[in-house]
Amino acid sequence: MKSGQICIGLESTAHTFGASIVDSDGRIFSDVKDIYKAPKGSGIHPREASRHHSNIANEVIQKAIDQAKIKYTELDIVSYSAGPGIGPCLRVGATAARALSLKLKKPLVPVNHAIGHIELGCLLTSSTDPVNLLVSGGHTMILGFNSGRWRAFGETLDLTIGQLIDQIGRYAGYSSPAGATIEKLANESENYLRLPYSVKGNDVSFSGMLTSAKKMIDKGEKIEDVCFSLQETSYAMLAEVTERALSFLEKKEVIITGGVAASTKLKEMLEIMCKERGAKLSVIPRNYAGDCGAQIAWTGILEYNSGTQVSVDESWVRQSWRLDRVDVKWRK
Amino acid sequence: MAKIINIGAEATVSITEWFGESAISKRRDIKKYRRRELDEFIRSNRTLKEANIINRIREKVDVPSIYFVNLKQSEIIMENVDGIKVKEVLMKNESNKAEIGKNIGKIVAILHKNNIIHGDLTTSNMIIRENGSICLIDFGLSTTSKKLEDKGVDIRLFKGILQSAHNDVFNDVFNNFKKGYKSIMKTSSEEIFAIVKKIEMRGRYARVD
Repeated sequence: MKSGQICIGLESTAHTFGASIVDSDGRIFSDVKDIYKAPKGSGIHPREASRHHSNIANEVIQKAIDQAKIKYTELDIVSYSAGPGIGPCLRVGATAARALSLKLKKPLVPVNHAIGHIELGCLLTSSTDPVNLLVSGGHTMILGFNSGRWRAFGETLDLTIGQLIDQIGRYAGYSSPAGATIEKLANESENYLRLPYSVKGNDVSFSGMLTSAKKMIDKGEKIEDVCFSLQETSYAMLAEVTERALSFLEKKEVIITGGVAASTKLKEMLEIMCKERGAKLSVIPRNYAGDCGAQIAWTGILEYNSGTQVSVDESWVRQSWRLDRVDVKWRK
Repeated sequence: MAKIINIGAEATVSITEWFGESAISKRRDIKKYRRRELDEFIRSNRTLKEANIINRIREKVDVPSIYFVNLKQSEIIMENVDGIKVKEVLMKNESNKAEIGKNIGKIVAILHKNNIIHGDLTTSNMIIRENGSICLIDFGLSTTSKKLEDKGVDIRLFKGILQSAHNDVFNDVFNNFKKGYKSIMKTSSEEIFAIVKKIEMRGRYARVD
């Protein structure tokens, strides 16, 4: 990899529009984002989110350039999140990236958003060959690198952990993302209510838990107790399947990435599991846990140096693009 | 002190004796990250399930013999199955992948014919004995069900582990798994494999094209 390459990464898969400047030594010079906030009790509206992104894109990109103290002409690579995600949102990032690439005559590199979460996690935690628990609104996967790809050793069969948390939050009248609110409420309870614990082999299922938790709220159970029980049960399931992958793959490192990596409770439980297994746990720093431009910029550098590049005419976005379809050429 | 031979994801397996015979003790360990009441329920529930279902199927497929169940300790004393895990065999070059795939297909089909869902069909839960017979272990996540959907979920898990851990031999093993499965399940196997596809498409971000 050439030293000193500078890459801008644009992130726009869901509620976040982000821009970041990173160099090929893994230094993050800036990471700016602006998050679309859905009204209380509702989720992301694709049209509204993409409108937010269009309105804010210029400002976010300019800030990223300014904070990095560089000029546009110093950029070597332009990368964008090409999927998976919400179509209208993805198109905003892709359009901005195409414009930059054309104007600056610099290579355009599409990046898989989820691979971005993992690779940025590995960079920032100095992990080489971890089991990765990727937990966010879009993903709940337990991954390990094997024969050229990040392979899923377990995943959710229905809802992601982020969706579970946000949907309960919304049902109780809080705005999304609701993770921090739920955790705060959960900290005020010690009263465990039984919820379905659904581990199927290496996979998890959360839909039954969502239904039961909603019923508890309807029945008038204290919201603190519901949140507490929800976290205890769902995070225990995640700890169990991560331990299964760790044992099967015989690895010694675990990293947690994705927006839900910001949860203190999840980290505590994984820490206990890892300690007993003699594995090392690392969690992506909180400010890089959620969607951000840095994950795209860093992976853009890795992709570009492995020969990935696309012409503006042929550039694309894909709403459905599983991370285990991506050939990871920079890893052995 | 019993000699520990394996610390798995949920249980510690150690060598012991049962009326003079060599046996193993499989004890489901306390998971400190889980709340006590939840943890106790899960461990005893799985121990009981494992013993029950192994007993129910033992005359039809190769499973370890159960000697004693100590529910309080979440412990099962059972036969010490001598052999090599399919996981390890598939990672070696010289093994006969087609034959192994076909045999696993037959075993899973017999379970499903008897409405037993294994629930954790990973290659580390299959041991090839010296005589070539494949012994299926770890029934802690098993259930009974007549639903084709549940049988499909069972097969998808096996397919998933082949794709992620044994990608280089995936086609050889899985195609023969299908052959073996069909030879026992006959007509309903087509329907079940169609459901497996459907379940895969339900996966997040699976391509529809």
